[in-house]
Amino acid sequence: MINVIKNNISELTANIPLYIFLFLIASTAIIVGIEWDISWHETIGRDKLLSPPHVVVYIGGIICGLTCAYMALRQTFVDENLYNRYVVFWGFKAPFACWVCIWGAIAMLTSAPFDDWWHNAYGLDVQIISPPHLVLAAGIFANLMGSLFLLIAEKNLATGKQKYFLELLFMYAASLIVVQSAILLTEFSFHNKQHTYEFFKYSLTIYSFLIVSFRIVGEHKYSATIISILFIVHRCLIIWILPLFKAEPLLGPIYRDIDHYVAPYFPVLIVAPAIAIDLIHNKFQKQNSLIKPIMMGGTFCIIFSLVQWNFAEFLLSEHARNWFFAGDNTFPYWVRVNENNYKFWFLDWTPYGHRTELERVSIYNFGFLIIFTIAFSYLGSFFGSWIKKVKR
Amino acid sequence: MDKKGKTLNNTYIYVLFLLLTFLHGDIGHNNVVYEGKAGEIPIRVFVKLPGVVPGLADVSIKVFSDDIHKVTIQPNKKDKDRKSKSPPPDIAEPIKGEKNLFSTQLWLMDYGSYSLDIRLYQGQIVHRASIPVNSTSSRILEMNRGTSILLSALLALLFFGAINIIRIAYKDSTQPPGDHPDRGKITKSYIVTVLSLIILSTIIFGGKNWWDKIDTAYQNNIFQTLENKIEILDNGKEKFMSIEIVDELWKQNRMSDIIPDHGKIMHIYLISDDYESIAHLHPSRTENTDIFIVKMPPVNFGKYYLFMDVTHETGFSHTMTNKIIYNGENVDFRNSIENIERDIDDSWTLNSNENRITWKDKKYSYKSGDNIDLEFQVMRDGQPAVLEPYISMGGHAALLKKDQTVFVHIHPIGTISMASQEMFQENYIQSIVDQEDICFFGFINDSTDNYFNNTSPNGEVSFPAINLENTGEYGLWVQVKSAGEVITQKFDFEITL
Repeated sequence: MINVIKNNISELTANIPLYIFLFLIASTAIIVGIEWDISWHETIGRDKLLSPPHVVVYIGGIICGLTCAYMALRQTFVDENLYNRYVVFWGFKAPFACWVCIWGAIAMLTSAPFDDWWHNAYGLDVQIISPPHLVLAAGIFANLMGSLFLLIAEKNLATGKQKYFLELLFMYAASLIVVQSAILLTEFSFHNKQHTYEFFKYSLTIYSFLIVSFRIVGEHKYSATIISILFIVHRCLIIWILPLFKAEPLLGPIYRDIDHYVAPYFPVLIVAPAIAIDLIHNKFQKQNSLIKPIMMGGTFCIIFSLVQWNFAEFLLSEHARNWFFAGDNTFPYWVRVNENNYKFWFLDWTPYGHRTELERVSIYNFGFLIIFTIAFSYLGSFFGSWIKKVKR
Repeated sequence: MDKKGKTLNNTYIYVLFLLLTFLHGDIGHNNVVYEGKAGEIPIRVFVKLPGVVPGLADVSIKVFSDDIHKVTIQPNKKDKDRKSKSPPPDIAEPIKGEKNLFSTQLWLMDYGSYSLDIRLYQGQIVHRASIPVNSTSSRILEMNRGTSILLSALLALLFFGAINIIRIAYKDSTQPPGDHPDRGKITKSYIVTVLSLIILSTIIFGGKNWWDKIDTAYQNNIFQTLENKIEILDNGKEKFMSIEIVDELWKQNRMSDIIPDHGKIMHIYLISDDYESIAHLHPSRTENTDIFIVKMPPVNFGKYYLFMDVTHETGFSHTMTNKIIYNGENVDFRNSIENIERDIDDSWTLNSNENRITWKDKKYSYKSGDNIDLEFQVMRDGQPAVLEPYISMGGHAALLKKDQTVFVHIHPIGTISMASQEMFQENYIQSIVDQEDICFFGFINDSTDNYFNNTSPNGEVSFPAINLENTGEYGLWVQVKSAGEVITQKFDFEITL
């Protein structure tokens, strides 16, 4: 039995270049490093250049950057037919994905001195969305997109079982991009904020864009569903594994008894609308490219809203206060223990202490949510149709 | 990204910057010095505050004892409902090549007043001291040229790199290997390039606007002096100065009430614009708790700068500023004002020709960042004067840069607010009443008694050394008390690059 499995794996992975695995390892390291780093900030607080999560992110960036640089130099100066395809970038030759990853590595590199200056100028940021962090996020996205382009080009040029295996790897790479989006949406997606218009607006537009575009690219019948499941499994593993490790706040004031890592928020259940997207895609294969995104967007908006609205109520209930859902373990050390911890929030505070109201979802603005989701589904469909054709 | 430099050159911001009240009873001076005792052990503590929140403070502790084997520092924040805990203490590491000098960096995460709890470990004995510091945004940081050039170059590389990637993505990436794009696609790729240029430029522009908004929000959040109104009043017999706090923060009760600092609810330095006369005054609070009133000293008519030190119940201390033109015309006659006794510790001098205090090793010119030793010899009738406490202190000194951007009120124990220190000590003692296992030798006794010990029978008084970054001309007024008389003397010096 073991030999059969071994042989099957060998057959699947045969002739799949090593650099594909290096790209995926690098992407995974970057994403896990960022998730660990956010938990580190929420649990321990004290930041330094070579903190363990930072090191994991750097290792991912270095693997990706060096792999791409090596490929570009080899193909430019040693053998232009080395990787059976290339594009020319300012005189250098390498697969298209390499240039996207190299751009990502430079963006990540740029964010370091920028973030350092930012901390000195405005104070250590305890928020995720800040200009230097978005430069870093752009770099990470570029790395993840580079890995995705690499796999799309490889699977477009592959045949037989290899193509099937590359399809699986593509879905994994795509799920990492969904994870990265979920990380960026953290501040809008706390369990307590999941009844706000803001949460639905950002979640619906970003997730619908990604799920629809990956659905278009994927050749598996249930690509969108599998990508969503991989995303949820990834986030659940982080939620279950991080709190196994002891950690305590090293900055104060400390308002909570924290002795293990704080978990991220429980992933949104995009698997529900993703199943619908798969069904619509499979059922209306030849549907007009304008009508199909409307169907997909509208369905995505309604199913996601219905499911997540109710699931958010569950996440704030006593039933979610356990290791599985971590409903009681997502609060950083600086959040006071009070009666609002398990209520929905409709106000927020800016980094400088100003109160802002958060809009509630209503029948009126729900119409906008449908329009936005359809618009982004259309954009996702357009984007997916293009990246599906990447062959270089 | 180098746009920041431009933003910061904005005249309005510069003027705002000059008018800001910064820290712990000082203006434009980002350091806290404390010279006193931790239990029985004399120490000198120097804290360089970050000027941003959250930020990293540099703390160095000179211990005047040879058998201290460990020094720790813990930042504590006074919490209204006492529900927060402090992080574990940081160990201050000994500085190589220096004797009994320890240092560490300390994160101050929140706005407000912190107490730095310093513990010296001497065998089984722990000596403690509490140093109050303010954590506020006070600094506008300009991007230096090197960082600006580096980030601009990287931004340009990313910008043009992204445009080229989009062009290649359209023109080449979907072509089967070996194929060349046709002429139509090549032409269209130029359109894609122009479109991507427009879209990316819009993103950069949007990013710049976002940054500017954050910058504005940050600058609006820089702690500013509480707005106040000064009036000169006359009840037909005497003249008075009324100080009313009119700031919105204060009026809306968003700042805690103020508490006396070494026995006075407010300490005012009134300094003439020719820097010749100075008065050190202590107003009383009226029934209207926003208004403070003090009998005017017999100073000449003219323009005066006011620096008013206050400490809040939270331990937060700061200096309010204002200026007045004192003449016969702007005096408001109000018979209703009852006669108020002059505070026993009010003092003033009308000229700077006194010559009874000598600044030892004084230079006229100091380099920016140099340690300036502040040691003085006081003479009386040709003999070293016997000094007595003046407002609980061995001496007071007011340091003013002659463009009013730097003001420091310093005592022999340093620049800290004693009221704030006492508040934190009481807070701490309250919190450990039931914790018998905690040893705090000397801590409880290390209260106001120590402030008195800085007097001397041989006329010597010293303040912790100070260093000043901002170049320009400064005036320093030193005040001591001897035989019931307050002796005030002014010194001029300059700071150069």
